[in-house]
Amino acid sequence: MLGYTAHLRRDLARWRERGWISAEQEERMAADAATHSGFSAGSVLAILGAVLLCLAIVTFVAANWEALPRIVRLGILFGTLWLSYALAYGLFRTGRDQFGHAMLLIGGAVFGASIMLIAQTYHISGNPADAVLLWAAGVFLAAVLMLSTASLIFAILLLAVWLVIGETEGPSIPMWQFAIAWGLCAAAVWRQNSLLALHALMLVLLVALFREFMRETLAPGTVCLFGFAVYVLAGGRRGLTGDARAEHLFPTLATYGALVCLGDVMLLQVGEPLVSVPAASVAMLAWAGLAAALLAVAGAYRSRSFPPIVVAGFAVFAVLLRLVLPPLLAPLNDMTTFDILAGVLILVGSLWLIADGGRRGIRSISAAGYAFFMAELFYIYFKTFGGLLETALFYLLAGLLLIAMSAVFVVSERRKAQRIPA
Amino acid sequence: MTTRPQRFVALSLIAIALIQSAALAKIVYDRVALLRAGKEVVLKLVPRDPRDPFKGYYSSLNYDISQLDRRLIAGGRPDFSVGDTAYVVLRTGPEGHAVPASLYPSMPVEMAGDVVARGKISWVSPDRINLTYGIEEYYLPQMEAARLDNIPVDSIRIVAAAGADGQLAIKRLLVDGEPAYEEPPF
Repeated sequence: MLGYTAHLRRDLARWRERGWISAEQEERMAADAATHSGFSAGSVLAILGAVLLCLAIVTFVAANWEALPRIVRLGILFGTLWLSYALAYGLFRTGRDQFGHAMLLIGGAVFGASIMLIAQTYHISGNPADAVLLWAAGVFLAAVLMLSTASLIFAILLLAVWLVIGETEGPSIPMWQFAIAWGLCAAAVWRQNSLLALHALMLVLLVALFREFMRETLAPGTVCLFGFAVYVLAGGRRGLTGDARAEHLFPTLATYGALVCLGDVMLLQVGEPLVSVPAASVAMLAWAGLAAALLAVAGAYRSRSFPPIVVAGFAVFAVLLRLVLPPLLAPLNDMTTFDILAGVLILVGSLWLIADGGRRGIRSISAAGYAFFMAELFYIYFKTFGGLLETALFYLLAGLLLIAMSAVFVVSERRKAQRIPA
Repeated sequence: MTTRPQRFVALSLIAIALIQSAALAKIVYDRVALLRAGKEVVLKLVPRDPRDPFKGYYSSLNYDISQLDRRLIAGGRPDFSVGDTAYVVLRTGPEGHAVPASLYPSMPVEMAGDVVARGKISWVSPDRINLTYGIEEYYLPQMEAARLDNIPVDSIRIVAAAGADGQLAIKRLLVDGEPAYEEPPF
């Protein structure tokens, strides 16, 4: 949010120079933006302090406290838990909300430490993932009841711990169980309308997707299509749900959709030996067809220029492509075809992202586009072209193409700018 | 937050503390009930690391009922796979500790004098089945751990309580048949 305030100050200064606003108006607007930017050094420090206290509590697990009788240990645990929430109440009551939320976070940590310490006290060596899930549930409860962003992020990050512990020690967490927990957290993120929590939510999702990817339990291209669907959904018509939260959260959601979509193709391309390439190649083509059709559906939907029957037609076309394409394309299967296919998909996709991000004014989408574009060019440089001459030719053509495209953009932007009265 | 009524904040916080306490209390209650009412069974340890059974603050215990011969599988059930629940019928042997008698996929009918222990299959090999019972970790005060460090594994026994559902809980630790470390349930 700090970036926004700085950016606004620059814009306001320019508008004042053009004579659109007075110096006094500029000051008032800047001051208003600063107070509403949601950034407060006090609350950030309180939360960070709470995180340190949480670490202190959790490391207490390792401390030498076995000498105390069991009843005393239990008394300490329950007492600390209730004390945390009593202190939180005192802070909320006196209007020190940011400290109240910090205290809530500490209460969540005490709850987790208690689970572990009770297991230790009674020599319970059950499934550690279950303990983490119980911990996450307790913290989630606090987050939902108190509308606490910090606690919600804590609960979401515990989901990642849950997944990782399931993987490293004990039976791994089934995807459907994770999906339920993640869905509940997603609903809370939507309700609390927190961008930071959305980032945590998407990062945990990336961890889960990566786990599935490494296990090769998903057909090649499935994750890509999922990301694409998120991108299309989040980029949907403005006011789609008639909710201000959509406008706040969806740009970030769209960026993650783009990252997942192209990231999956890139992983398939770079990690070739991991997946069976012929199957991947066919699937990729079919998914690309489906993606193109979906894009058409989304375009139609957004512009409202097509009647529902045409939109439905596109959807049927998409499904047909998915069914019909693979057998037709089977003869094309080999390493090189796959590589070229994935490369084209990533280059076209990243250019689309740069343009779409610019058009919608969402910088993170453009940034993702640039990143994928550069990454793919590097990949091509090291991988596909053997001779320097061919590589040079490729870059020449790609460069000329891009310059031509940029010229088109510049002209259209200039026309747009001319329509704004000076 | 400032817009929410005080009473709601107080009620929410009490609800959070109550529900979290209830979850913790449930864990403690189940354990205490098991320790008080469960049937006692004496288990023999086998060394995992032959030198020190009680490393530092806690030791991971390896029981001789942790590794079972496949021939103990009862009935015609061909196989168990990792993650399955298994029930082991334990009978007190001539040396005073429990010896595995048979392995079932579901709760068997108990004979007098037998104790049934419930475990999870952790891995399988062509001739052996490995189980965990949830009693593989034992936490000790540092001083106790240092004292027990030099005692040969052979002379250590764990007394566990077995619930009606086969759940095991560590009750006390015996060295040469004498209680060496015991804690009351509370």
